[in-house]
Amino acid sequence: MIDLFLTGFLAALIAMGLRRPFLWILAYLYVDILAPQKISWAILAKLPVSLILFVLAFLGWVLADPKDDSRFTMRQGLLLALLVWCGLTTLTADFPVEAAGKWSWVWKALLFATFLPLALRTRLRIEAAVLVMVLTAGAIIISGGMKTAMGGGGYGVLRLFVNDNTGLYESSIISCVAIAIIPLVLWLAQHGTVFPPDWRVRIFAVALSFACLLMPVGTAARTGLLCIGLLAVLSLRAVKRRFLYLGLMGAVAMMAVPFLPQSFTQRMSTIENHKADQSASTRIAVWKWTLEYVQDHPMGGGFYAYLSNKISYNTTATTSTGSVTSIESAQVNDEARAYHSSYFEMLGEQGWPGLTIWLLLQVSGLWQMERLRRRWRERTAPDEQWQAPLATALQHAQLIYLLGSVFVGIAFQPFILMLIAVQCGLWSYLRRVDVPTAHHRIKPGLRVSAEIPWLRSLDTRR
Amino acid sequence: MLDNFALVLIHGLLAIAGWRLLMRDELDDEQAQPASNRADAGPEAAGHEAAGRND
Repeated sequence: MIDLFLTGFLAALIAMGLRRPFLWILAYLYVDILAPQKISWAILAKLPVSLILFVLAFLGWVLADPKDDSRFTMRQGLLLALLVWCGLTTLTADFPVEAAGKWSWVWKALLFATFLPLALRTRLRIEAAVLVMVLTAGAIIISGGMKTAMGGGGYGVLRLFVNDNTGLYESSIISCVAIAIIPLVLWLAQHGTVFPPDWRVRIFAVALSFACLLMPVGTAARTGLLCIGLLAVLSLRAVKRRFLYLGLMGAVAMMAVPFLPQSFTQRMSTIENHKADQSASTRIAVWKWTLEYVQDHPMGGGFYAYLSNKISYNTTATTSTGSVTSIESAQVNDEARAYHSSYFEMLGEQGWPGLTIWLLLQVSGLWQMERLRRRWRERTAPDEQWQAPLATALQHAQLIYLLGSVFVGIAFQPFILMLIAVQCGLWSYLRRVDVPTAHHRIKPGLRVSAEIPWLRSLDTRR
Repeated sequence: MLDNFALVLIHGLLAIAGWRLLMRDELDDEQAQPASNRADAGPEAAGHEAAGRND
């Protein structure tokens, strides 16, 4: 039944694309995030759905979409450079067979992220892309959130639609992404035009955000807890009454702790006592190994270069019983351990050049979104209210991802690459439509920049 | 059961979104006025609207 349902939905989406080919691009976003061909076991599972929509999305744009408003931006150049570099390291990889396996989806994700901004040339398209990304990830999150609320969570226990630990279905990845999209959910609830703000939209947004917050609880992924902490700090920028907000946050946190499952609180306590935790010690040992590895292989070892690692480390557990404190030390030998960090994943697999391109891609995104935020936030016209909040939401989502990336190897996560593509699209779109007028130059908001020389140079550049 | 609920809910919303996008010309062309604004888009349109009210 669900098989027919998913197939029918996708067929309808493809049919709608015949009238507006941009819907094929949205359909590809949907397929790449949810992987309905993995949920289904009959019709869709037998078709190369992802490939079909990948081709349709490109063809629709090439054949039917005007190109006048499309711009190729610097960050798309970085994505392309990363694609070429990854291709080169795959050719010379330490483990060619395994590397080819990862390359088979990485090239597609990078190429699509390079292409997507070219199609995001209207405000509605940018909103539609954000909406489809959030809703599709929301399907996984709502299901996971409800199971968690009913007590079905636990590390490695929470079962999502697909049980194969790929894409967004891996527990650490979904808990990081779930928190990262909360700012986008809130933006859609306030500035959406496909679903204009009303009480139903607000209720859905609050419920979805709550489900997002439950994902780290349900998966007991410690990374998610850190991401929630960062989200709380970042939200301080957006709220007006900060002390009231801080008080409310503290109260909510205090009230929530008794309701958290024991498995979650036990696992979270290992953040503090990380020396006794094998998973945390493995990470540190692998990171040390990676730093040594790139001294001999500065150009990286290609995808899956970590398979050659052999690590040895000590864990120290301190337990107190009454007045007696005992320290137990144990040596652990391990091999072929993954990086568990996007930064070290990039360094080990793509070497210094790959890491540099990737970091440039990330930092330039933060900078561009900040620039947009400052440029648009003081504007007062009714149609100039959505830009700064979207730039802020995209920036916060990226910051949360970058924190999560410290502990999870998600450097090429397609969802995040889509997020970067939306940033590029927004940047390109706003630069094109933001025609400077005398009215804007003397607006009070820009007085702020007049006081800061480097900002003044940004504002007068156009 | 919960999986099916989440899938049906989200696919329903995606279908509504797809349909609404299909109906909006601004998806492809920013110059196209939204249907709600079209009535006051210009003197001609305003004239039509006024004529409609007189009728």
